[in-house]
Amino acid sequence: MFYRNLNELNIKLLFILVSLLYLTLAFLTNTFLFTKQFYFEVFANKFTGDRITEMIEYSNKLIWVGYFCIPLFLILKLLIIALILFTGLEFGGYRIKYSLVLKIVILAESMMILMAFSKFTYLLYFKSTDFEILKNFYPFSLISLFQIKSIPYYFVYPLQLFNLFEVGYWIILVFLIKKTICVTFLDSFKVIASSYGISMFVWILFVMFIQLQFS
Amino acid sequence: MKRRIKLIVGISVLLLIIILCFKINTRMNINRRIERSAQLLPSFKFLTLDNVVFSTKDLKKYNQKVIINFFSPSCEHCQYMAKQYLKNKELLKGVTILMITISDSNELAKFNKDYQLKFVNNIILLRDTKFQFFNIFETTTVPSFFVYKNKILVHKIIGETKIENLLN
Repeated sequence: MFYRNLNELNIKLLFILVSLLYLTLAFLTNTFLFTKQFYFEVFANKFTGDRITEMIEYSNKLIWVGYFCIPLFLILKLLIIALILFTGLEFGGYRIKYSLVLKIVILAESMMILMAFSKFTYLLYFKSTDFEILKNFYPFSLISLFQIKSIPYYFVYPLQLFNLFEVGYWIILVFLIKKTICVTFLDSFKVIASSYGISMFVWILFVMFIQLQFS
Repeated sequence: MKRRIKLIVGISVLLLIIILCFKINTRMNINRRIERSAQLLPSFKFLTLDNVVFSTKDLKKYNQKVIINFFSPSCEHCQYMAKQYLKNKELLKGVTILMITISDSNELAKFNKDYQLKFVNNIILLRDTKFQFFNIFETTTVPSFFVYKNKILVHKIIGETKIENLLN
């Protein structure tokens, strides 16, 4: 039943819907958060007024490039995660179509949209003018437990990634895989942990390595 | 066949994790050491525009406050900072500014000419021909600033900034 329902979902429509949600969020962020006043408040201590004006003009010019890149990066991210999960499932001996895995990954992306939305809402209502705090803020993540300025820069990204939304993302993936291939919750978790989990760990190490090498 | 592929992928991932962990740990130790040593003005040797060696010892002739500015002639933010040095040369009178780059002498000479840095007496343009800056100051970001007062690090600023931030 669940398998049939998932099979019937239109993958293109799903992707367009997720992209539109991200684009709407980007538009809201640019309109209501990254205002002129915001730039002047945040960068007043760092740059002169002329430079801030230049920065605003420059970012306004590039705004459409940003919108254009959103669906491109999104599709790349979804395809890679789906491929990793698909490989994990294949190695686990479960036969499943790649398109189905891709649909599961797109559905799980709803958690990341929720995260982006909560980040936007937080920054909109609890305005901070500290650039470092704004840059590194990640809602409900381990980084909130630390003083950002006291953490070495290479630990910021891993601490950001450990957040409640990531837990939610895992739960959705485990649940959808469990339903699709008809296995126990634990077996499904094992597949996700041994594919997505390990890949995420390697990715975190890779990012730390790059940051340390080219900081 | 599938078992063999699984084994190869597993071993490759494990090896990758071990290599990354090892590299990260090594770099973290080096960075910690650099950070500690950069708290006091570290010793260095760079080349001036005339290919003369300039070292920490040569700084004795200059002011007690030293700004070490790592830059690139082609970086827009660095060009802006150069304009700011010229504009604020009166404010910067009591400070020695070492502008260090890994670019070649022709590029540096052009930068010096374009931004009229010869009119700011206390700026010394230096070339890091042996790519040592990263190992001494732990950054390759341009522009970056290390402000020393009586040889003690008082500010580390990464990225473009206001002149006031370098002086206060």
